[in-house]
Amino acid sequence: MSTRTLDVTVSKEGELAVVALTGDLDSRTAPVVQEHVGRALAEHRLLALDLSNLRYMSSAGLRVMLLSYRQAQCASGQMAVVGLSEELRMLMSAVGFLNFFTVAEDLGKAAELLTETP
Amino acid sequence: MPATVASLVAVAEFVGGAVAVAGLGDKDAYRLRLAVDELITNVITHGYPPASAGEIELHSSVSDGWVLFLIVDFGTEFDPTSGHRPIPVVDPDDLPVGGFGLSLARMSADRLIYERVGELNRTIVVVRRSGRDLVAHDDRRPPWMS
Repeated sequence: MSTRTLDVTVSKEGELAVVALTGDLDSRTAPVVQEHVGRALAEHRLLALDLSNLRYMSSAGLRVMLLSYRQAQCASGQMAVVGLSEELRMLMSAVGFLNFFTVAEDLGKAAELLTETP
Repeated sequence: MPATVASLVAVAEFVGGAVAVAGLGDKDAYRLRLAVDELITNVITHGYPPASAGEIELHSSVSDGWVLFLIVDFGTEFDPTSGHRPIPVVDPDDLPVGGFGLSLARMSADRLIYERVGELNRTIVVVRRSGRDLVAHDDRRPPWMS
């Protein structure tokens, strides 16, 4: 039995939709994340992608993040990424994503950053 | 193993085992998994016709402080070391939604070697203990030049 899987939890914190990922995000698990994030963004203007418990992300995950970012932009929404490990920060930095993603330490800070953005 | 995304679970387990034996730290372990994952995902996605029963072999050689993986596939000839693969200039509106994979594999691996042998693609990935970040392939310099 393998423990390598991905759990997706969707919840709401005030105005913020929260999609929390636990496990590994790769080309095997990316489609289910895309589906959840896409649905959350269709229903909410503000979204936090909580990666505090994400162990691993490949380019398939970066693709999900970029598509989600664009979906949010198109709908005049906002999204933030929460709880980056040093390795995920390294990955996002390597492809330049830290230049345009809102990054927050925790959900409280994410809500603060997103709601103060006009 | 079958050339399907379901095999990425086994790949992760295999890489994890090698990391433990080699005693690599978190960043080096991440680079190794990323390089192997991206190269294998590329073979799964582009190497074989859809729904074909393609196979991929993964072999390892491990010592204290380094890991070497040999990836063998029988698919379309493809050299992941060829061509210039910079990460595009970052503008979220202009960025392509794909194409990061091979760039990241090249940024991650300390050595990346490819050869076509008969009907086989043979790709070798080496990651050494260093704790370094992902660095653009074309920006890396041998130690004696830095």
